[in-house]
Amino acid sequence: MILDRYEIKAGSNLTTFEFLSEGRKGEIMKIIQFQQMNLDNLYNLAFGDKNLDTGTLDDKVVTDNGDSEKVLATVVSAIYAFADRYPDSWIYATGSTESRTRLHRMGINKYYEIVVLDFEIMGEYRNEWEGYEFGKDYQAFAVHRKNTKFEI
Amino acid sequence: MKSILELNEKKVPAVRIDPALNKYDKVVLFPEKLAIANEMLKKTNFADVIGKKYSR
Repeated sequence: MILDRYEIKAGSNLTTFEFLSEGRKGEIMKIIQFQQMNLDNLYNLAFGDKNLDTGTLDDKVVTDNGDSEKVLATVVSAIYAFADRYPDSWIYATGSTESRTRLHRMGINKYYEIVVLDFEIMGEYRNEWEGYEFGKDYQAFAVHRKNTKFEI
Repeated sequence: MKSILELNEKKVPAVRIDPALNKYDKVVLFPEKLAIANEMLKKTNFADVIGKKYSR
């Protein structure tokens, strides 16, 4: 099943991605960056809007462009692209606000049956990491491409 | 050589490389978000669960 998603472009090392969201508020540039964290092969997924006029970035804005599902599918595609290039990596994600973390959780639940075929999925619950389970209010998430040397 | 159907079925997207984005290679966008993520990570057992040690 291929989801409707935006075309993405990236820098040569596939750590920074951009795509153009098109919706009721017009064209909004979105930017995704996979950021090295304080642990080998662990990358934070950062995502936000880029102001095309000023170049400033904002990861707290609520864009509400009416295309959230397509945006989510596009972010998922960037995760696939990054993990394909860096197969040993873990990708960490948490929301900049509680509501965004909840949106992350809803997104994982929505595409779980697709993503779980290709990724190990873990969730952080009360400072403990575990295999992802539906219905739990995880504070953060981490995914890792399957078919590598790591197995939970 | 892959057929169009095979290419369309790939989950890994065809990504257009834009050299203009290389300027972000050594720049941490949303640094506050990264700092928060690292702080959260310190409080958890993630490294133990995946069998690694803090290296930075």
